[in-house]
Amino acid sequence: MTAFGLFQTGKLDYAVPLIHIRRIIQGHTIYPLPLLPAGVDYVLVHESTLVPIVFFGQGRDRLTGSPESECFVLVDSEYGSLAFASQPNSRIIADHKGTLSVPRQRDAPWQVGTFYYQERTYHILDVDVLAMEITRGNGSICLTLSGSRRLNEEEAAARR
Amino acid sequence: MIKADGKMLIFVLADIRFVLDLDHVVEVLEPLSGRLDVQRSDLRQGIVAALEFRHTAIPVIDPTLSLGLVSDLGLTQRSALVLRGTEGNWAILVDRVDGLAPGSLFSRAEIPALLRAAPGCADCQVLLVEDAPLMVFEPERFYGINRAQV
Repeated sequence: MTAFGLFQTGKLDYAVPLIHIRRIIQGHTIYPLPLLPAGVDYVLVHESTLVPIVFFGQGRDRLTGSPESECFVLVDSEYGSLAFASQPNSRIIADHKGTLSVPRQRDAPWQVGTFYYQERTYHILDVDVLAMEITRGNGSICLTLSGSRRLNEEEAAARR
Repeated sequence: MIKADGKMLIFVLADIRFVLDLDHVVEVLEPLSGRLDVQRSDLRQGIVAALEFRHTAIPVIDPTLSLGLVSDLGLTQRSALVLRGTEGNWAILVDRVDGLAPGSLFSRAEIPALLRAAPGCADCQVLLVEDAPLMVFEPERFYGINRAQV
């Protein structure tokens, strides 16, 4: 049996396989640093290690208001830890409680499928692919909704 | 290299705290109004102005340009750190100086591969004070014959 950590960020819901989740933390101060990879503007410090923060669908302006109140899901990838900013309603659900769906073609390289649970659709993240895209300096990694939409539109246009 | 028995100068650039070994610092200058000559700039070398310092004009570097940062302060509202270099004194512009701290106060932050992969961050150093990160400012990356690519 596997399980997913479910979390909500912006208006979207995400799921990460539990094996990748190190912990969920709250009340951490976040810091801007120069020379961060494209798509990452802030870090937090956990156990003396810098952890880049990924803000899905959220702008920098929103952050500066109340960074202390953010909740962060810390995940381990092949390239090191990542933190996802989320709302404080994260939970862990066994996979058999919901329905898994794996599309033939991914919307984004790091979205491997969807997990339907209690009438909500959670996008399942492949944290290794996401981390790899960050290390490749993929600025259009689209950690924002608008960017994601733009990429999808570009892909659709390319297919046409 | 951070020396535990040495002193470190903490300064701020665009809301980001940096730390610099005090051995590099000749003097802190503030305010700068009237001392900067922006006509004598050479942006190819990152020099934004010349600074009148002890009857000599020395080059002034704005580190925000190579760090991709934006300062909210105007040129003359900022402070200058005069640094000693192999080719003589030179200066950097900073937003403010936060003070001095002993090297023993800092611990080294681990930087994961994820961040090391970013251009310019392969060998950058970050120190921690009470879990708050401070970027180590390495002068040789910004000016001089051995200037490295930031």
